[in-house]
Amino acid sequence: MAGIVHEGSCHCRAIGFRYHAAHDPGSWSVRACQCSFCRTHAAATTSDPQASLEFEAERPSLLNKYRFARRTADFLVCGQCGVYIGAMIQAARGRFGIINVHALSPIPAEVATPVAIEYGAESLEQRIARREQRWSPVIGTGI
Amino acid sequence: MLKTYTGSCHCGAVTFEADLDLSQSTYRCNCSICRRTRFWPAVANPDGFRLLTGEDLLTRYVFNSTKNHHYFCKTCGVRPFGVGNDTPIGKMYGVNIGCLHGVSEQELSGLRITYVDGMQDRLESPMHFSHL
Repeated sequence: MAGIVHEGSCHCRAIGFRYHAAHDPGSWSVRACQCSFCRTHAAATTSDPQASLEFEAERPSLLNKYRFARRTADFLVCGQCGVYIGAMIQAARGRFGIINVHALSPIPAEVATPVAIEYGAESLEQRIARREQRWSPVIGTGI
Repeated sequence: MLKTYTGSCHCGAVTFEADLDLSQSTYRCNCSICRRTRFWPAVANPDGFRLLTGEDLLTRYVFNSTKNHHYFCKTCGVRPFGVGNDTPIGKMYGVNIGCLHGVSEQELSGLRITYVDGMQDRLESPMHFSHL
């Protein structure tokens, strides 16, 4: 349902998010990115530039921000249970993020099926531009 | 037939060797940790799993009955393996197939999967499993 807040967290609930959706889960763009990180975490992520996203750390000391490859985004992983909840980039226009659909609680029954997608051919500039356009604005100061 | 595979977490700190028979079934489970991490293991006997590097970089996570030990890399969060201490086959290692080196896409897509109802603490297939 549009305008609904979807909550998610890691398994031990040390870190989480509130995703202020703009559209019904059945029409979300859910991506199974084929990079090495997303594949080893078996992640399926979503974002929507019309949505907004609040990350929150119930226990900030357990937040692990993992960077790799071009080191442009923080991949948010719980230091206690290891669950990957989403990622965030600090870009010129502000902060933008994605959520791992598997960290939603509950996962909406009608959520769209993940589509495999490969971003490996992007340049650094293309990658940042794509994230600024397609990721969700991050609001709040939780993380 | 058992074959020895190498594998690693994403950042490469944790590496291992595992003797696996990928012609046997692999597993998907609907419990609270497997659904968040989409854990997809193949089974190794205790003497068929050898941690090569990164022991000091592994965090052990336990919950509920605390019988199962879930290990993940402190740096990248990836879980290369878990240990079941009290299963119908005794102690066993669940080795993350996504961490294995040298397994082709074709081979991965052909692996057999058994679905288990961890949410209800049962090894039988749950009523709904296609999302797993």
